[in-house]
Amino acid sequence: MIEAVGLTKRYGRTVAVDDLSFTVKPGRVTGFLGPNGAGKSTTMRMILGLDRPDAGHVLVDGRPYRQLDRPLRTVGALLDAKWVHPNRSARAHLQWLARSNGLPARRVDEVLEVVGLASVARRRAGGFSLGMSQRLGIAAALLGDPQILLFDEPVNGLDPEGILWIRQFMRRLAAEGRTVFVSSHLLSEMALTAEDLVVVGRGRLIAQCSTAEFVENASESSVRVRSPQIDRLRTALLHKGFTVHTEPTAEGNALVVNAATSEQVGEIAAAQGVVLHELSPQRGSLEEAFMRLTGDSVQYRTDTDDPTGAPGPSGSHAAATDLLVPAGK
Amino acid sequence: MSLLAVERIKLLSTRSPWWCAAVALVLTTGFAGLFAGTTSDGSALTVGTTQIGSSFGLMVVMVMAALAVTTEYRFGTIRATFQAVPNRSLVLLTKTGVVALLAGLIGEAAAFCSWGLAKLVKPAADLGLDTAAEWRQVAGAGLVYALAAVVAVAVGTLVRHSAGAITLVLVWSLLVEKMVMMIPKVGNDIYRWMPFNAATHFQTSGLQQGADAGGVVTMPLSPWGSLAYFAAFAAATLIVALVVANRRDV
Repeated sequence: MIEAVGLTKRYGRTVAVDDLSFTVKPGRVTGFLGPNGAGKSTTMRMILGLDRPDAGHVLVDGRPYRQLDRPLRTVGALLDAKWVHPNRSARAHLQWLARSNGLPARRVDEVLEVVGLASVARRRAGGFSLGMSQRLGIAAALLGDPQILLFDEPVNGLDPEGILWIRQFMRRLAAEGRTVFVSSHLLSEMALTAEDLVVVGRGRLIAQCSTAEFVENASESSVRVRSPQIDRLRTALLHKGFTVHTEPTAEGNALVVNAATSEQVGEIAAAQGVVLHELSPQRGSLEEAFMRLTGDSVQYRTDTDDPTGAPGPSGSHAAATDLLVPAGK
Repeated sequence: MSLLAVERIKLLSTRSPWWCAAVALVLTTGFAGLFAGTTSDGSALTVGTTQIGSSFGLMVVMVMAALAVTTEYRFGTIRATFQAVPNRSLVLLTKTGVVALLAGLIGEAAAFCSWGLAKLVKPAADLGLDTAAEWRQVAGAGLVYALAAVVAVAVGTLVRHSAGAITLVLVWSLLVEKMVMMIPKVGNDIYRWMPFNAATHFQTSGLQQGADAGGVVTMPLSPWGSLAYFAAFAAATLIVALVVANRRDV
């Protein structure tokens, strides 16, 4: 259980985290979602007592992190896989961590086995690939067999195999009843891993809800139709007050009807005696939903006017896209 | 105490302290050996002059001590450390203790090896440790090395960057303290109270060793008083470092 109340952190005149409150519950993977620069890492450092909040507080298991006795037994965290001395062996790195929290030496070999690094335990950590460093970081997080786990962008830069491994690993940890809090700037990634979401933009809370709920509320439904009598259909739809735009496809132009159900579009077509070649309900992509929501927070902060309002599938939300790193696309 | 073990593992599981220890030993004993080997006049070789390379070893040990903490900031292991042990003061005090202990051991080894080598090279020279001053000259090296290591750890904690911390520590002890003497009127008075000068006075007073600074300026404190003054200086820098480390992020 992690509880943040009114968490605020300023760096000079920049507000990195702004009055952020949320709760992370045990037994499930909670995604911490936001564009890069939204204050996710800062928040995680505050949870671990590394950075001091300017206002508010955050409690783990009901206590501030700095008051925990042998904290590695309560909270395991992987904030940066590079926090290892490059000339120290993986084993030595875990050994000093284990000693610091009174954990037995055999625990080091156990976690090395769990993450699959047992064979390279005596090699210097500086020579590790990113995937191996990430595994070493996870081994360090698991050392104290903690009930709460924090991961900051754990799949960043990993190959598909590594991503899959981490995803399954986090779900398994949550299934064991642990609290798993994992940050990401990719909603599609979170949709596959997290059941709950804490969504932030510019340091502010945008939503805290289940992933399904977030996707449901955020993405707009639309219907795609193809017809040989496309102009007649368009006129009829516009007449009924729907907004429509044309989308070129391999099979000729299709119409996309916003905020409509396939039933409505089908009935209008039938009433007009229009032949349909395709009638398919569309869900806005997760990325669109995410950009729209975090984009709003950007607009709120910078007064950028978005004349198109809610972005359609063609996307006209430059302000939000700026926030997404290239890796996000 | 598990924290002592932690800092011991951290310090000795990388190569730099071993290299620094080796370099410190080679430099100090090397100088002692060269000096003893090249003096034709037996009377020039005294217990004091066997320690002629001591300050070289001291510089190397201070570099090692500063690196012990700055590399933790450089590689982010300080965050992992504070994550494992949130009590900053406890962590830094333990680290200081372990580094100072190692520095002290290197100092003793360097001093006695230098003296021993000189005795081997010139068995005829009068190198017996007969007086308290001679013991202080040789065995005192460990104390000076240990306290200097405390200063270096404190500076490393404050500066956090290896290059900056090393530059500050070396430039201060090698240049700044001596250049203070060039200030008209008050220069010598200030120099009398310079911490590393006090440490040198503790080690060298009462013995004839070349152009010792103690001969230029009369020192205000006794040798042991000078050491206490140097210790107080080390403690003060350490306290400042602890206060700052507790206040800032990470």
